[in-house]
Amino acid sequence: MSSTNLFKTTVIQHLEELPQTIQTKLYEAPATCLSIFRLLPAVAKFFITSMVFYERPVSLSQLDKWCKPHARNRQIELLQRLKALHLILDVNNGSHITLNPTFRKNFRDCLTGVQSVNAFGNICTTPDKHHVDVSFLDKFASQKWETILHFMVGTELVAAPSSSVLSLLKLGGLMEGPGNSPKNLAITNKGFQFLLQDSNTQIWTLLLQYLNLTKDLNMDPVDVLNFIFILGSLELGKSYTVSHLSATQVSLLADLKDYGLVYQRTDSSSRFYPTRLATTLTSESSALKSASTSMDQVIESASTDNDLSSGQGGVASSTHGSIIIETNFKVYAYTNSPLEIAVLNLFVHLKTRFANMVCGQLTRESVRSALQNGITAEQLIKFLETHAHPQMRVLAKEKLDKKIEFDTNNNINTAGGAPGTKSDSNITQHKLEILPPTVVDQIKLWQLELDRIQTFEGYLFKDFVSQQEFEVLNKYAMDIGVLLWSDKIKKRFFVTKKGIDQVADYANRKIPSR
Amino acid sequence: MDAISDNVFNDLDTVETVSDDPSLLTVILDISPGSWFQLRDQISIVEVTKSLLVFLNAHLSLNNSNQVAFIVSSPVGSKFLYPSPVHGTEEQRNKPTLITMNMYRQFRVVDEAVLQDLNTELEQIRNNKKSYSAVSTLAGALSMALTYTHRMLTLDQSIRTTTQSAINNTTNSQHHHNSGGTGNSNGSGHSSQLSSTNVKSRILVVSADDTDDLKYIPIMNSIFAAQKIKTSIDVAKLGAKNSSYLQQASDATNGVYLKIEDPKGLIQVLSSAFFIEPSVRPLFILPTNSNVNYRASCFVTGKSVDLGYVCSICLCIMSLIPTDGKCPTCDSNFDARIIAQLKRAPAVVPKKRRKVVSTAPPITP
Amino acid sequence: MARDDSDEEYVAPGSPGELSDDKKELSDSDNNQEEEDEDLQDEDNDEDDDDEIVIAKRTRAKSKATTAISDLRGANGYSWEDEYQRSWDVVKDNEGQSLESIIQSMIEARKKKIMKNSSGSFQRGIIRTLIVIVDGSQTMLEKDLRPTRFLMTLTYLVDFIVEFFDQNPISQMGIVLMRNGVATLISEVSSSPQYHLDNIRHVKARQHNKFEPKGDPSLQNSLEMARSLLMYNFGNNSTTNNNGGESSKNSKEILILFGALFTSDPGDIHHTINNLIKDDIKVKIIGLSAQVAICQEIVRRTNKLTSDTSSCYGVIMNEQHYKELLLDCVIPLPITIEESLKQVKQNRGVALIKMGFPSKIQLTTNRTSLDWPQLCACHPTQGSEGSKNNLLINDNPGKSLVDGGGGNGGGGSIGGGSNGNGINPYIGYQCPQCSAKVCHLPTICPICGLMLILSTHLARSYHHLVPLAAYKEVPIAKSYKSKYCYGCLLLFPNGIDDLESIDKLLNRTSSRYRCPKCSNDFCIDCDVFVHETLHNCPGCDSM
Repeated sequence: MSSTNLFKTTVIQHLEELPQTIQTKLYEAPATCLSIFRLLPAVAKFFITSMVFYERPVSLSQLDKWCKPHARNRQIELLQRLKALHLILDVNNGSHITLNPTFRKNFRDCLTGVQSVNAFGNICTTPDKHHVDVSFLDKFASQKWETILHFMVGTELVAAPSSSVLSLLKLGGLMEGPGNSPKNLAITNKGFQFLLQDSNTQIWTLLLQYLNLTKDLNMDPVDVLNFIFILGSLELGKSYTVSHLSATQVSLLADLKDYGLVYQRTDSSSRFYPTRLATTLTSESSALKSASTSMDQVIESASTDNDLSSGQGGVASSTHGSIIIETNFKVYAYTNSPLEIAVLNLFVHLKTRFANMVCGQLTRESVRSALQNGITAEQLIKFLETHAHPQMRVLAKEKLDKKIEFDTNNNINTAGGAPGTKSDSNITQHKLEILPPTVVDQIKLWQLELDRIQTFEGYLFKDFVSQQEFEVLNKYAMDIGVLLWSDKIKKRFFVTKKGIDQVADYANRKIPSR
Repeated sequence: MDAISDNVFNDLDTVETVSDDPSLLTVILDISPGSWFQLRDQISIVEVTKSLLVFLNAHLSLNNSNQVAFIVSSPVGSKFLYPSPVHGTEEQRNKPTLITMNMYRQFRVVDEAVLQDLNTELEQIRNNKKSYSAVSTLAGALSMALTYTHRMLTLDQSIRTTTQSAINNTTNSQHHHNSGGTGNSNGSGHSSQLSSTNVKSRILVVSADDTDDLKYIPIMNSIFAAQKIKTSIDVAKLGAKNSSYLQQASDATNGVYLKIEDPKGLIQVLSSAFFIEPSVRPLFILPTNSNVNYRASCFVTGKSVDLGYVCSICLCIMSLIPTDGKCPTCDSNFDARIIAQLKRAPAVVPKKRRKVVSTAPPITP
Repeated sequence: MARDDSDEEYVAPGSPGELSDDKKELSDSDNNQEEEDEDLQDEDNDEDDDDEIVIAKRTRAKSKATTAISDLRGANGYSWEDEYQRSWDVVKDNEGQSLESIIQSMIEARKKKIMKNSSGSFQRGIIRTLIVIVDGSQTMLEKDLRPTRFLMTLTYLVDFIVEFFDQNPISQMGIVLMRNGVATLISEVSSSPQYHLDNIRHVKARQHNKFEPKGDPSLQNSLEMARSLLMYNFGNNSTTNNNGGESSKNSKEILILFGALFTSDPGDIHHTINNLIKDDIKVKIIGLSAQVAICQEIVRRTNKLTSDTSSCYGVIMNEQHYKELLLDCVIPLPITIEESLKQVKQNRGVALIKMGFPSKIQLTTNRTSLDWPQLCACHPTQGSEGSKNNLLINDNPGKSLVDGGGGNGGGGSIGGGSNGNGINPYIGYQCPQCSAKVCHLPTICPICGLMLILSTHLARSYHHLVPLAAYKEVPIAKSYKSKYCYGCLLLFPNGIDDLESIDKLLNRTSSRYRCPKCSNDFCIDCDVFVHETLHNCPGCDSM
């Protein structure tokens, strides 16, 4: 699973767990509606848009007609998810569904542009005496954020982040140790994983921890979430007034400043600037790499030239990747940032260090130790891919072009094969292989050595009275895709934790209680 | 072991079959005045535009990196309204805005550009009474949409297109130093450095033209090109009649063709039937409300035909047998005997076994 | 027409000496070529002006150049009889000519050859149904063709399919693999080249398990399968059409790419041959090793030849010859002698065909399409006793297919006829003349005998008819009137102020390519796309 999906699902999961009253309150803000909408899976987005301008409830059987039979499983799962978010509501005893009216109204307003005045933040109209430009914001954000990361990998030269950040790290299980003193904290397995993810995922991980914390701080989670989602739709380089914010949000502002999400000159300043970290919160980071690479750039430019005076040139000139991997598992990283080196050290056996680069080797031991730290092969590969040297990208692209060209040469003047045909899968089978496939496969194999057993949480159904009873339930579980294992002879089957409710429901309905 | 490894290797690759890839939506609006005049009782261009803008917004709201383009096809020529090449100059920005300032910025930039340019375009048509060319420019608009799509799909997007500069101009001049293309990550998603081949695309044609006088060959060429770059052509047809060429276009590219009977509910149709993204298209049964008419166009008269004569050398289609017995395109002489047989009245039941073609009496099954 | 230099054209661009002859020929044959171009080969005629090869043609030019060089190898018959030639030896920098012009002339020479092949104005208006039988027996693993006979066959087959559908837009094709004593259907009869290409790619991809060449070939099994495919696709009318009149409009053909020197059959192959003759199916064979008596007999009897079978049964000498033989099959079979005699006697012209463009019928509710099976007129006996014979093999087409081809999934490819297993019971086409319903296109209406095709089938070749003029590069200047590409809005670089400095920067161009008709400027990528894929000028069509 790619990291984008990871952060998406975590955010959505968090939202799903909120009580309905809070969810409905959330939907009152157009910006939140838009952001939540963006986080949903593609098919769910389609269902929602098709209902936004349709007043009457939609019958479920009508909905079934849209989907091809093989997509039925997915559809059921999605509706379940949307129901958990209370974005769609059952009417007429579950035969029809309708969109949450609050959400419908606000989302529609958002699309048609008639929403309330400051739904997407209130831009300061008066000029700022202490105006800051985008590069300053980038610098500020990267400095703040990097402090946190540096602290986690245990670089000594930086100052410790603020105590609120520390407690958050500890709470999130990213670091552990007695007390809140910076010296006592040590990074955990989860922390290692955290380091390898792209910055968007990292921020969301922290923000979600923060949300968990809000209950203890007596903050209104709705206010907090709304503000976070609004941040995602603000414009970089513009200043916004503090005056329209609620008290909770103002106090939130101070914390966000610690993470580098917003810039405020002083705590009492009447305006704040969102940084790039904030404005890309709800962006697709994997799709166009805009968010993550831009952040990588920011981080890197700040780390490669430590003197802040270089200013604008830093962002423009730096490249967004620095790692070269050869098919013989040698790794070269053009960096002198302690942070990057420390991260690399997690899974590369580093051998030599030069003024502007480090060399090392991926070995079974080095990767294994990383894997044992809880980092997955997928994360390693993803990390290496996103941080690959542009030259590797260029090479990979050339290779891909050659393959595609070969294909098209053999395909010239072909009709057919329009989008959506089966042939699609064959054509897209050429993927951009940035890393040498040998290395990718080997990393996966190393992981396999450790992953001999997979565990699932779930429930075992047994002691059925009749074969038929077993078959009915077994088939249902299979249909909704929650069945993990079944044994016909022993009349037992095992379903996932998620599916237990549905199967139990079904069992109660179908099978007369004994 | 095999089973295990298979599982892991596959797992890593195919977890999400439906990806949330960014997609490009190109809307082509046919604003030939005649056809909209026919519809004046039902809907006006303004209302359609409103619906389309909401539609564009909805598309942008799907994904931060989604892109849109808007092309008008009018008697005076096809033109990009968004991304607009001329847009973003100083004087443009000083014009009064037509869109409320409160709208989400990403939407506002698009909507404003489209509205302003559409106004100028309509004005131009009004002042330019003479040049009502008889033939629709839809084929040209389609070609433009395809070239633009091609650029977006396959080529290195880090090259600064006017799209990006337009956005830069409308947002903040401070972005200029981001030459790496990483400014505007909140903007239109042009900011990627490597070509992202995973962008999906589709084209929506909104037309009210009932005359069916499209240029046949260019439309057909566009269809084949769209097939090759795997772009669907969706068609929303207003007005009284179906357009058989546009039907063919959507049918051949796995697109959606709907003839909209009641244009008042346009937005509802747009947001449901026309909102099936390319990435989820395999999962849905595509809506349709008509049978596709695979008519061809006569090379001589330009009319569309469902029964015609075809030169066996160059395959050009004629609605009637040429009087000089020569192919109008490749100049081959036709066999006089065959012509004679084709001209014979259908009532005569032939005794000969040759040329049963046209003379057999029609039988309904 | 360039009849006078036809002798030179026969000389393959072989040795260096001949090459320069060719080159001389070039200059004065230029004009002639343009006339020849008239018919089909517009793709190439853009390149006629030697100096006009703009970068837009870079891809094409490049690929042609490489093939031209590889052609030089072993063009004189058996490759081992040739002297070893290194491609760089051929390129001689003689007479002060630049390397470029030599490559140019190679391209031209190659082009001429292509031109020669297709210069005859053959009838495109024929529904050809061709079943290609590929040998997948053990012998195909031989490495005398590299990498193996089988892989090379597949590679050439891909070229063949593309060319076939380009030249025969309203034809259909199916592919059968002859492997391990049985016939396997690897690509259903369909008119979509893409569908076949995908299936071939599948076969290539599964080299090491499912489709690895194995066992003995069985000509009888594959011929029977091909026969039933052909019969099934023509429904019942194949029997009624046998009486002469229609045979000029459709032809049933089988092409066998045969690597083995024997066949191991379950029954009497002569019986099969008789059946083929009865059904008017013509067989062509390309042998990869040597002539085989039974092949000769098949070819002789099905094509009603007397003794000389060389026109329909060829044995390859080398790779190049293989390709030539294969591409010869693109051209429809010659009309039988008696027919052509008749034609000469009566001095007949070209046939004019009446065709119908049917509507697609799909039962619908007002919102979504219903998958509702319909009856069609071309298979009225489907499932009845009488049709069992034909249906036997086709009963489970999906099962023997590779995964990709099985279902009707997507169906986005052109025309209904190309949907997965050829026939989609939910989609029908209605004859405009008699309103009969048929289930696939192209076909001949079983009721009124009208030829029914999709207009998109015909349109596939239309860009040959109306070629698009090449864009001309705008010369470098201080300033240009266009700022962005008309097609994709790409910003053009500004004009160069200091015109003197251009000499130092040889690669500087204006990056603008102007359409001579509408004078809009395009970027290089749009130029390539417009001329190679779209075949429409966005500017001209929007005026």
